[in-house]
Amino acid sequence: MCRALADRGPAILPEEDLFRIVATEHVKGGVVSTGAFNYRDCFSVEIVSRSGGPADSLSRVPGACAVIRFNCGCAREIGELDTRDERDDTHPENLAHAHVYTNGGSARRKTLARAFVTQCRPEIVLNDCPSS
Amino acid sequence: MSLAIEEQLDETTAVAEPVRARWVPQQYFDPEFRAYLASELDRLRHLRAGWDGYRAATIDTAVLDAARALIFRLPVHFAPRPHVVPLSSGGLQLEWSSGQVALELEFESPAIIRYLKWNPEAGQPEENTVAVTDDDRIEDLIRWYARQHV
Repeated sequence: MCRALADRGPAILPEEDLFRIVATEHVKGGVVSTGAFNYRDCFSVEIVSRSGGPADSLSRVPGACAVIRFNCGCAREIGELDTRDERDDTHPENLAHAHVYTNGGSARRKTLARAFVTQCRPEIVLNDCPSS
Repeated sequence: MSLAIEEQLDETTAVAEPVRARWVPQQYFDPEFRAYLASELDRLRHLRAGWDGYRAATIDTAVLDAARALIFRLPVHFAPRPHVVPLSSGGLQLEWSSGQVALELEFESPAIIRYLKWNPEAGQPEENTVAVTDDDRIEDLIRWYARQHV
């Protein structure tokens, strides 16, 4: 659950990489869509250094089929995507979980999302999606 | 033709740059353009809540209807096919991208599209909104991408 600004967890260090688990709709043709990061408030990720690897992360998100990896610091700097150390209410035991807060109300939100995809180059590290 | 002229021609031929042919598409021939997009929109109509593995909303049927109506108002054979991308908000996005160039038309509602023209080599990106019924402006945007894409 996304939190109010005052209640957010500590910032994740910029050198950390993150896994974002996505559905086939956002990696069609092997291309990462900005739609994968188009959230009005926040979205979930896993911190790579604390995770059990992409397959383990994928197993926690039924219906998803691919794992995208990107750098926390680049996302914060380029895309205004701020990653905070916060547990998932449905998997509180998962210490790798974090929330990435977006600037969903920004008049430049699409520009920032495209800049993030272009410059931070999120990479598909696992793809079990059908015909993608 | 005199020998002197022939020699001149030979010299000219010898130093000239080779002609490099390049196809410049003037039009896209895609008879299935509308049918493809319509089938993609129909596919999104069947996505259930949480289709992204998290908390995504179902895609708004009014948005799907508005997108479908727009597609059938646009000309045919004028652009490559976009990706039809559902969004967690219940909206959808028509997304063209090739190399550094991209165009996104995001249906924020049945009435409003937020668009992004992206080509870093040609200057600043352009992000703004346009009415879904502004067919001329939307066609201009798609033609812009088609020209960049060549």
